[in-house]
Amino acid sequence: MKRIIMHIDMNAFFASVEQQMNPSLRGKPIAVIGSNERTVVTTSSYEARAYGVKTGMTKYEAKRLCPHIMLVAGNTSRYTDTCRRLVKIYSRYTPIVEVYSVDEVFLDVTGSIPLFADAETIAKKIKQDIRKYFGRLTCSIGIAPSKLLAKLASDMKKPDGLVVIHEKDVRSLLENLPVQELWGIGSKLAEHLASLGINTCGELGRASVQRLKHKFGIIGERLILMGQGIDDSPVIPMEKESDAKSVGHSMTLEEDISDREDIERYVLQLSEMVGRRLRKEGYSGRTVSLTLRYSDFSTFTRRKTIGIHINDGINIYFVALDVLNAIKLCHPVRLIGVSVSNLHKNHFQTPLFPAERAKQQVVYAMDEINNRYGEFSITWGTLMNRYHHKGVISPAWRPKGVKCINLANQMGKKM
Amino acid sequence: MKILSSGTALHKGFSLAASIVPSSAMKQILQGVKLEVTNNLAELTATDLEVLVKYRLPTKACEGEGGIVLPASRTNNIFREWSGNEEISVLVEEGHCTLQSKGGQFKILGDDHLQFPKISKTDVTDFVEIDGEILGNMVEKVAYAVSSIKALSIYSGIAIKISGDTMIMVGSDMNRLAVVKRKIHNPGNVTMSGIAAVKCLTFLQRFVSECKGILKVGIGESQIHFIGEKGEVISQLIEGKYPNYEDVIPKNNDKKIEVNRNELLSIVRMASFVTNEEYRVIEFSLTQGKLTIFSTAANVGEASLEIDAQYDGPDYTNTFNPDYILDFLKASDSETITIELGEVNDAALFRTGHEEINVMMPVDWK
Repeated sequence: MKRIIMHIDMNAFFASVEQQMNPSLRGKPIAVIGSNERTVVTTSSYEARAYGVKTGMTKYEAKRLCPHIMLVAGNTSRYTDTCRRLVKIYSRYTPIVEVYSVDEVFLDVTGSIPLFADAETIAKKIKQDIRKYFGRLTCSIGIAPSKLLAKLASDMKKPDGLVVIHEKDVRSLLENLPVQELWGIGSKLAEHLASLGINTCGELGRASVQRLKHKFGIIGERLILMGQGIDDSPVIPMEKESDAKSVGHSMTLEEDISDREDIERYVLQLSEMVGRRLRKEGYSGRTVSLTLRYSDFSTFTRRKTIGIHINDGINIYFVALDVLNAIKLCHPVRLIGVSVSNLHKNHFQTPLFPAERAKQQVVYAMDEINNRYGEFSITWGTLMNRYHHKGVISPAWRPKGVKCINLANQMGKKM
Repeated sequence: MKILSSGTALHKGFSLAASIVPSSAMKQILQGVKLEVTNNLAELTATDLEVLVKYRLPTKACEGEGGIVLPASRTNNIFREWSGNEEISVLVEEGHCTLQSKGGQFKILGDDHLQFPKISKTDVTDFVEIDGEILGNMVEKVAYAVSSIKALSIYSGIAIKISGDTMIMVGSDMNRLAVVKRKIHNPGNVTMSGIAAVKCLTFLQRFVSECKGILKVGIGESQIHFIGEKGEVISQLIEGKYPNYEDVIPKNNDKKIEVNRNELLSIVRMASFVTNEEYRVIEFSLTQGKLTIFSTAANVGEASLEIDAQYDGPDYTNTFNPDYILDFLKASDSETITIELGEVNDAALFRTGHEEINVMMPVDWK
C-alpha cells in the first residue's frame, strides 16, 4: 500500500507564539532570544526576516539590521504547551504522529484517507483548526509518499504553504534539485558530494553504489536512495519511540569566562540539571560528555566512560571534572554542555557504604523538595543565585518523555 | 657523559620509565625521561607529578657525569627498534644526545636535566618488606574494584594498611569492595596506612615484573615509597579517610555455597552475552543442589544456565551486575569460590578462603 506522509512545520514558531500571546507584538519585527545577555536569535518573525534577521545572529547583529526590532526573551513553557495542544489537533486525524521537534511533526495519514477523502483535505482541516484555536499561528504542510519528500514539500512554500508531491512527479522534481535541499544532507556532506562531482539529486540517484560506499561507508547506499526520493523510514508515534540515548543540557554563558573555578561552577549546575532529569525519567548512565565552545565559536566535546551507572549531579560533576581537567583551555569559554549517555533504565546499584546510601537519600529528598517548590529551590551552596536558565527547552523534551532540543544549538535552522 | 648498554637493557629500562610519562603535560619537560649519570651509575627518572620512578640502568660502561631529559615517546621508539642490538652508546653533550648502534645514529635534542622535578626527601621513615611479585598480585586482586572517577578522590585509590605481619589492600567504587591480605616481613612491627593512587600501584605491577625480588614498602604522612634492587617508586597519597570497610563485610549471611571458579565464570560470562547496556543484570538463583543464572534483555533474548552446588537452604533469588562478578572471578586464581548470601537487600560476599573477599550490593529494580 502506498504511504501518505504529512510533514507539518510551524512557521516562525516561537515568534508567532509570542505574537499570539502579546497583541502589541503583532505585525512587528520581533526576535526571540535566550534569557541571558549574549544569547543568539532563536527565531525571528517574518517581519524581522524581511530585514535580513536570521536565526543564530547575535542580538547586536539583529539590531544593526533592524534597529526597531523587538527582542523577546524566550519562554520555554509557552512553546512546549503550544506544541502539546497542537499534537492533540493532529491526533484527531491520525494516531500515528511523530513529534520530530517542538515545531515539527510527521503524520502518517495513510489509514485516515477513507475517513477524510484525501490528504489535502486533512491538511486544510488541520490548518483551519490551528487558525481556530491559535489565531496567528500558521504552518507549512508537505504531503508526499515518504518522510524525506514530505519534509522537502513543506520547505517549498513558506509561510502557510501546502505542497503535495505526487509519486509520478518525484523524478522530474529531483533531477536538478541541489542535494543540500534534501533533509539530512548538510553543507559539509554536500561539499563532499560536490568533490565527487555530485551536485544535484538526479546525479546522486545515479551515482555508483560502490563509489559512495567507499567514500561514506554504509550510508553511501542510503544517499543514493535519497537521491532517488526513496525513504522507507516509518513515522514513529511517541509511545513507540525507543528510549533516550542521552540526556544533556548546555548553556551559553552571560560572558566568556576563563577562570577555572567559574567554569567548574557552571559544570556543577549543568550536572545537577542533567542528574535531575535522569532521575525523573528513571535513567542512569556511565558516559559523561563535556562540550565547550570557545569565544571564537570553535566547539568540541570530550567524554569519559566509567564502570558504574550514575544519575546524581555530584557524581556526574566529578566525571565531567575529570574530563575538564584533561583539557588545556585555549580561549575563553562561551558555551558549556554536559550530557550523560550509555543509559539504562529503572535499575539502580545500591551503594555499599552507609554514608553513600545516606547521600543518595539526600538527593532523593532534594528531588522531592524541588518537585514541590520548583527547580533549584534547594541546591548546593555553590550554586545559590546561579540558576538562570530559562531560554532553553529541555534537551530531551517531548509532549511525553524526552527528546533533545536546545535553542542554543538551533543556529542555522529555519523556523 | 657517555654510557654503553645493551639494546635489551636500555629498551626495558627506558620503556618502563616512559610508561609513567603523561601523554599531555602542562610542561614539556614532563613529557621526557631524565637520564643522569653520577658516581658511575646511570639512572632513569620519570614523573607525572603524582608518581615518580627511578630506575638504575644496567650499563657496560659509564664515563663522566651529567644528564639530559630525552623526549619519552620518540626515544622509546628508537630503543624499541634497537632492542635486539648488542650495544647502544648514548653520548650526552650540550642540549642534545647522540644515540649510536649498529647501522646508524640519532642526534636527539633534549631538555636540561637540572630543570626536571626532584623529590629530595620523602616523609617515609619506616619500611616493611614483601616479595614484589606478591605485591603485584595483591594489586591485581583489588584494582578492578576501584572507581575510575578521579575526582571521587578516596574511591579512586587503593587503601593500604600495614599492621603486624599483615598487609591489607582495599579497593571500592562505592558499590562493591575488594579486599586482599598477605603476609609481610615487619621486623620493626610498624603500623602504617594510606590511600595510594591506583595509577601508582598498577605501574608498580609493571615495575616488579622488571625489578624482581624483595621490595621495601613505606607509608608516610603524604607519600608512599617502594624501594627495589633496581629502582624506586614514590607517589603522593590521596588525602582523605577511607571508610571503614570492615563494617560492610557481611558477617551473618546464612546461605552459603562453594562452587568451582571456572564453572561459575563460564556461566556468568555466557549469561552476560544476552544482556546489553540497558539491561546489564543477571538473576542469581539458589535451589536445592543447584545454582542457576538467568538473564534476559529486550530485543536480545534470554539465557538460563546452571551448575551443581551443595545447597539445601531455602530458595533464593537476587539480581547482580554480571561485570562485578566477572571482575572478581577473573582476578582470582583460586580453584573454588565461596559465596555467602543474606536477604534480598543484603550485600553478597564472594570469598576465596579469608585472604581475598569481594562484597557487592544487588541491583535494585524500580
